[in-house]
Amino acid sequence: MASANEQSLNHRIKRRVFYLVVVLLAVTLPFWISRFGLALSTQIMYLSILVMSFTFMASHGGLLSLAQVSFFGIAGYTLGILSVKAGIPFPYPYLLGILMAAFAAAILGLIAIRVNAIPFLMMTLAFGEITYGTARHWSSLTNGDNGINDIPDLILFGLSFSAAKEPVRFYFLVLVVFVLCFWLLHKINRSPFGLAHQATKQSATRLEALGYPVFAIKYFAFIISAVYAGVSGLLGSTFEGTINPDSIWFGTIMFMLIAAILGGVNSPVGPLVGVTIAIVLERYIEPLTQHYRIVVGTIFLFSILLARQGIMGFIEKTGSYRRVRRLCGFD
Amino acid sequence: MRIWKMMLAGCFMVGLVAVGSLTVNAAEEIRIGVAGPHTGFAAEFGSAEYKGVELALEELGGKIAGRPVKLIKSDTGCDASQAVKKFRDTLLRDKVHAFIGPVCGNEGMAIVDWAKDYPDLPIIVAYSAPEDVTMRKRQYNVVRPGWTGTQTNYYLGEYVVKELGWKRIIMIGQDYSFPWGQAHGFIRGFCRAGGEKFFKIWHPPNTEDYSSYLLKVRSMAKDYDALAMNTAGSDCVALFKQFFEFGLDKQMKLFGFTNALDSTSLKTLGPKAVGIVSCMHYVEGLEYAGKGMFSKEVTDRWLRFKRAYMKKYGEVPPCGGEQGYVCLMLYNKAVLAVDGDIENKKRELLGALHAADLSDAPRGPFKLDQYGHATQNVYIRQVQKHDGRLVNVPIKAYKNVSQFTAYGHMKEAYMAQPPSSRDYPPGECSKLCENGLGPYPDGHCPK
Repeated sequence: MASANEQSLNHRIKRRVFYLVVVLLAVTLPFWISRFGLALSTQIMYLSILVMSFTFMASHGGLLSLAQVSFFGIAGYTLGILSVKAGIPFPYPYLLGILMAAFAAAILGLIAIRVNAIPFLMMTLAFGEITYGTARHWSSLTNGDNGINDIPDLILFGLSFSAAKEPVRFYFLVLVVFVLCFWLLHKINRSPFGLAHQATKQSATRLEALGYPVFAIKYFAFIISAVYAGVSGLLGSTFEGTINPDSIWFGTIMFMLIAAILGGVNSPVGPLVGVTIAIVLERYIEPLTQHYRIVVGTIFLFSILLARQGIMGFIEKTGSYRRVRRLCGFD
Repeated sequence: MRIWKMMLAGCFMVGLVAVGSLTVNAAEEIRIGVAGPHTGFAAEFGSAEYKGVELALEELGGKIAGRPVKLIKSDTGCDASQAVKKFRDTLLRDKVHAFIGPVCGNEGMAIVDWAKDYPDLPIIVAYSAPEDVTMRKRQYNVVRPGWTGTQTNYYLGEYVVKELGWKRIIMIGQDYSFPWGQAHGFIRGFCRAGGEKFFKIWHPPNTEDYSSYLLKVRSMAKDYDALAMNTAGSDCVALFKQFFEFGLDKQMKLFGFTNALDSTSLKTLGPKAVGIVSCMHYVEGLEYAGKGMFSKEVTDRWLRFKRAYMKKYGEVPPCGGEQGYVCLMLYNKAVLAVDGDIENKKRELLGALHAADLSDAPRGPFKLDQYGHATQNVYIRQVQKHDGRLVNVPIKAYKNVSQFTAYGHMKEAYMAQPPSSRDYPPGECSKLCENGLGPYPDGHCPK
């Protein structure tokens, strides 16, 4: 009894040390990394939130939703239109941005959640086309192809969080939001709701027979995922200072899919790993060769061939992974 | 508990990013980011820009003010969000001292806002042509020795009415900011000269099949005199071919705005293009102009550039090539004016950029106005065959045209007008006045 207690205490200390190291790394990052590295880290975090919203639906609900990028765009456009064109001050465009993303999901969900797998994928793709078309052609509202530029900097508690002038502050802001989102998603997945959500993928009919409202569970999960995508869209368009039709269409959808598959759909850290590798590969190979797309594409192809469950799925099977895990006080 | 995985990934991320941050920078090197599309429908404009910059650098011996120059090429794909990403990446990763670019209209609009955060960074806009880049949104660090769609097309509108007598026109154009600006300029000139109606058809860029649009044109053809091509690149080639396939050439005339008859696409358009009229601030057949249009000095300077470009790349320099060339030459002049000390004399460098003398530009002399935009000649040009090759030849020149065209004396009133969009200005000349500034240079509407 005493030894078991001692062991768990020992583990707890190890875990704490591990957390401390990670927190230290994340907090000190702006002070030893280059400006470019800092900008990349910021992008990695907000894009991870987008990919998290995708894997949340994909791994637990078994639904591949391409509409996440549209929710990203709807939030970004709401922010852009309200703050630039209507001149509404700080918190409201952000709040309404998230609300609009959730609202769009609530409408789309009514139709799309009724179907599964490929029809669902097609429906979300069609929704993507609708949002893209709207962004592009309703130019009196969205400025069409020019997009909405000059999205104002965030000012919180009298401090400017300009992505260009105060990159360190902006990094911390995104870091805080990221950690919050990550932690919340973890909690949701562990909650009775999250477990029921996972069960909808495994056997919806049995769940139905047990008296769970399968449609409502999926529908609610879809809205949660849209809120995540919306948060990502708000951070993204504030960081870029601009939102335009191209940023909510194929390029971003492909990026989201590649990052999700590369990182591993079933692992909670999959999105972060996938986005990091996808971004870093792209940005560092690009200046080396004109044909960087071929190089990056080949790397993606091989990593998917070698690791079907993504990089995290691959790592989780290795022995050294378990050793590291034990060393850090887990298990 | 799987939270620890996040931590592991964090370490991984940190490691990867750190590797990339260990780049070595040479102190005396001048790094210039050259940004433009190298993929997509506008790829030829991006590559022409880069070629022009390369040629200029070669003529300068690879050095500016004794410092070696490194060009950093990036592909913006004619996509505004890509442009912002690539500009930021190039600035932060490669620590460039100046930018040449971007090329597409939407890119320019996004970049001029982005430029606000970097007031000391010179951005020399190569080809991007919405007027607001140097008008309503102007930034001191953004100069444009290029053009605007409005500036060039104003006089084409006047020309087709006065000299060709076409008063009813259908336009097919790509649906984004640059063609909107072109239509804006055209409509003002067209209405002022007494045009009647101008019908706009917009289509998304990268359209290969124009049949639905051309069917509409065919049904309307009897009420209109001519079709205007407000497109560029591969889109324009497709439109041009299908115009003849539909037999529309028997029903109406065809002409183009600026890029539609760019020298790079003339070869693909073939002999049917001969005689077609367009306008631009640049002509690749300047030496074939009628006698007395240009001084010998201007023609010689042009021929020297044309031969140098043809020798290096084996093709007639397109407009984008000349603009890339001029951009680097402009930067060179400004750097020389501050004795190469671009790190410390940032404000002086920007001042020198605005004040630089460009009377020796290959396209013909021009200067930058108070907003940093070129005041230059605009040519009405016609496709002709010379030495077995199709070229655009100037048939009329409008000298020293500012970006405000005929509204130079009322800049503020002009800028108080809404910026051009797919719906503004309206195609009906009578409605133009309802929106305020009329088509007449004094700003009033015809009674």
